[in-house]
Formats: sequence, structure tokens, C-alpha cells
Amino acid sequence: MECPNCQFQNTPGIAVAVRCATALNLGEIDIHPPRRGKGLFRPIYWPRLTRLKASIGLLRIPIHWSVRNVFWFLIPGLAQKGQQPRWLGKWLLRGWLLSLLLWVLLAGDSLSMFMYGIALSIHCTSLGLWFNNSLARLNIAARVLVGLGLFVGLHYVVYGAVRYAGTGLVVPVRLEGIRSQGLIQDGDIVLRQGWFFRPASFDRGDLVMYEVGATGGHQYAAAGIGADRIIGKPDDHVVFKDGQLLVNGKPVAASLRPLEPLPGVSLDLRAGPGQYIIIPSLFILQAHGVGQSQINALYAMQSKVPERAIAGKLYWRLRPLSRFGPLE
Amino acid sequence: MPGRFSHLEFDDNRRRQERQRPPGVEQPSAAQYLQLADDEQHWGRFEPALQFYTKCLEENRRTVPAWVGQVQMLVQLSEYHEARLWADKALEIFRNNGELLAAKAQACLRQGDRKAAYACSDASLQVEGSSPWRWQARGEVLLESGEKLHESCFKKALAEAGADWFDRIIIAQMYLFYRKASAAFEYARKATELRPDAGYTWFVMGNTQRALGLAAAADQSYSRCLELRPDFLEARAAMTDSSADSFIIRVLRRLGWRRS
Repeated sequence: MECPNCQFQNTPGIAVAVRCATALNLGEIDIHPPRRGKGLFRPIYWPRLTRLKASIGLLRIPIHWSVRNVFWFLIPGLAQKGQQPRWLGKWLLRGWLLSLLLWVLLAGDSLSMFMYGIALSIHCTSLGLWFNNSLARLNIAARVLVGLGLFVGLHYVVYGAVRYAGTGLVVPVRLEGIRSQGLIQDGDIVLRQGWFFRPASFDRGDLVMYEVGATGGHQYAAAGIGADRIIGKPDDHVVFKDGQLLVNGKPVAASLRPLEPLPGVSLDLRAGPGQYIIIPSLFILQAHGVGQSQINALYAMQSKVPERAIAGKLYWRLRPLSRFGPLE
Repeated sequence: MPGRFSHLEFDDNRRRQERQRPPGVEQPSAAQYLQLADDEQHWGRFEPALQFYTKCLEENRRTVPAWVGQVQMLVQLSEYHEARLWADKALEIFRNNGELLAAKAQACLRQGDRKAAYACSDASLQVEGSSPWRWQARGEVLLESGEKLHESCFKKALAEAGADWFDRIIIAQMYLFYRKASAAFEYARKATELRPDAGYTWFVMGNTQRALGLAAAADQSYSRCLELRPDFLEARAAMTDSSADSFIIRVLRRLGWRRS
């Protein structure tokens, strides 16, 4: 009896082929293949779902976790150095580094985010080229989706982590709408301490950035950010009257006073526990059609700043470049 | 009969068919059914081809090419899961059969299981003997992986004894599946040169031209196919679709987009 599989001539009556173990008696074997159903739902959507499943399978990017591959993933252009054309990897890496450099140098400027976008795009391009073989098997819509996924993933995960770590060190801030002509001027970009370096408590004279809460009632002041020197610490008594500033009954040195001369207001403030006195001198508090007592009340309200509202010290001026340097 | 049982052929149907058969006309043998299945496959009619392969097995369950054909047809009908199941079943019967292993490799690959596809393809080539199909399946595995070596596998498949025009069509369809329309076009062109009288070659040629965004050339190819077989509805439908394609769709097709 000849085996249909290996063509070996077996002894008659034997159940399985001697050489390949193929069953020789196939009389009871079902020969109708399983078929996909033809229900109402499946013929319309099942092929698409199957294709989607196959696409996901095809998308399985053959990366094994090695130090080299992690570097290739994180630094664009490195993966292309092993691929053709080699110059592409070199230029991708250069473009990415340049974009990152400009992103940092232009920090605080709107152009900075543009450079960040370019760096991110270069990174996505590099990864797209690296995964080219896997992506080539997908249709154009799937490729667009994968590209978007890469972009979003890099932005929120990889670069998000870098940005979060970066804001732990320093945060660039552009100060706009201020009246100061001295140490800080309108449009200056300054650096403040990040959350990692922010001290637990501050001293008198520290130049800080803080959150301004909206004043209730007539909404004289809008919420935003403020920047000025700390005049009084918790439990200090601050009096400002007739141009004279007294803290706990003693006059304040010029280097510890607010950055700008204060308008004609009279203040008598006592900082509560966990409160600092910061008299806003850079930002113009407008109060039209109200009496001096109400203006004094507004200043008093704005000058008491809770400790948690202070973001950190300002310590460096980035721009304009002509005044680049420490804020002293 | 709706649902999953619609493909089943019950004895009642069979008896009815036998009653309808004119007296004196013998039931086709397994070899004849195999030939009919191959003929249908050569016209790209995979559902009838699958049914003929099944009928062939009804006559003779030991016909290995019919088992292979069933798996191949299931893959062509995009029933990859079923194809893989059936390949496994067939391999339980015909252990280490090279052709079946190659067919399973293709089913696994289309399912997205590249690792299993490689294993099956490796096994199919290790088994004694050789055939165009084994090398074609190997070529597809490498093509899917983006390996340049797939070209030499396809060349090896065509260099095998018994390779004919339809093997070029199979390769062209593999390329089309992976959106390599220009490579598919080359193989389809060679197939039309070898067998200009085979209508299906023109149909595949039309498909490759359409994928390349060459709508006018595709229409000509479909027309040629319809000249050879006016009742080939697939070509007529493709021709209608092709002429309905807007400019944007054509551009998207050239970019590799495939409408479901």
C-alpha cells in the first residue's frame, strides 16, 4: 500500500505509513474545510476586522530590547547609520541636534515651540524610516495613523518626560505687560527655579514668581503670574505709608524694596502663618472710579501671597541678549 | 441555508445531483475534479475551485494536491484562520508534507504570525523534494519581512521543473498583496507574454496597472480579458470600478492605498 505522502510501499493492512506515519486509512476523515460564516454582520465587517488584525500583526516591529536599540530609538539618525543611504542618518542627527539646541536657546519664545516641533518631526521621520519595512505593508491610512501615534507617543512620553525633568531644573518665562524700566523690563525672558530646586521657605528680598489669584467682588485684578521681591515673611508686620516702607517697625534697605516705586497707597499688613508679603509693583492694578480706600484694600489683598502660590526664585535673564545675565 | 452551514453539502444535495446527471455520463474521477479545480483557480474563481478540490477529496482522500489546494483557496478567499486550521488538520494526516507546510506558511503569514510562517517555510524546504510553490511561499515570507532575497526565491520557483505562466501570476498576486505593484506588473507582463490567450493573466495585469494608477491601460487589459471570456464578471466589475475612480483615488492608489 503506497503512502500518498512519502510514496513508501507499506505492507497491506497496515494503519499508518512506516516512513512518515501518515494514516493510510482515510475513510473517516472529514474533507470539508471550515468556512467563515455568512451572517448579517460578518460578511460586511469581518474581512475588515480580519485585515485590521492582520495589519496589527504585520505592524509587529521586530525590535529586541538591547542598549543599542534603545539608543537608536531615542536618538534619531543613529538607526539610519546602518541603513542606506548613510548620509541621511547623519543629516537627521544634525538637524535634530540643531533643532534641540535652538529649542533650548529660544526658550520662552514662540519660536522655541516651532523648533521643538521640528525636532519632534525629525525624530518621527527617523523612526518611520527605521520601521519602514513594517510600515510599508500597511495602507496609507494606517501609515498616517501610525505616524500620528508615533508623534503623540513621542510628544507625551519621551519628550514629555524630558520636559518634565527640565521644568524641575529651570522654567523660562516671558514677562509681558509690566511697567518696570529697571531690573526687569517688559518683554524680558527670565529663568525661574523649577520644582526640584524650589526652596521650602523664602527670605526677604528674594525675587520670586508667584501666582496671582483673581480678586473677588469687582474683579480688579485678573488671575495670572506676578513677579516681585518678598517684603515680609510669615508673621511679619509691613507698613507702607507716605513712601516709607517699614518691616516690623524697621526701614527696609533699598536692595530689599519692591522693584518699582509704589503708587500712592497706604498699607498696613500682617502676614499670617504660611503667608508672604509681596507688594505688586511691576503689574499695574487698575481701579477706575473707586476711592483710595478701595485701592488700598485691593493692594492689601494682592500683597498677601500664600507660600504654595510662590513658584520659585527668578535668577537669570535670558533675553534680550544685550542684558543676558543674573538678576542681581 | 443561512450562516455558517451554507457551505455544507448534505447527502440530499448529492443524491439530487446524481439524479440530475444524464444516464451514461459517469461521475468525474478525482483526477478530473482536480483538473476542474485547477481550471477554476486559473480563472481566479477560488470558491468553485475550493468546491472542486473538496469533491476531488470525496473521490480520493489521498490526493495531497487537493488538500494543498483547499488551503490555498481559503487563503485566496481571505479566510486565513480557517486556512491555518485546515492546514494543521491536513498536516496531522500528511505529516511533514512540503507543499502543505508551504501553504500553512502562507496562511500564518497572512494572519500576521511571521515566526510560525518562517518555521513552516523552513520545514517545507527541508523536506525532501522541491516545487515552485514551496519557493513561492518562501519568497512571500521574505517579501513580507522586507528581505531582498525574496526575488531570488521567486526566480528559483520559476526555474523549477513544472513552473508555468500561472506561477508568475501567483507571484504577481503576492506582490500586489504587499503593494509592490511595479514588481507585480513585471511578473504579470511575463505571464501575458507566455499565455496571451489566458484571460486571467489580463485580469491580473489590469489589477497591477490599476494599482499603479494606469487607469486607461487597466481598462484595456480588462477589455482583453472580457474578449476571451465575456462572462467573467470580476473583470467587468473591476472595469466599472476603475472608470469610477476619481483623480484622488488614482493618486492614492499610486501611493499604495488599497480600497477594501
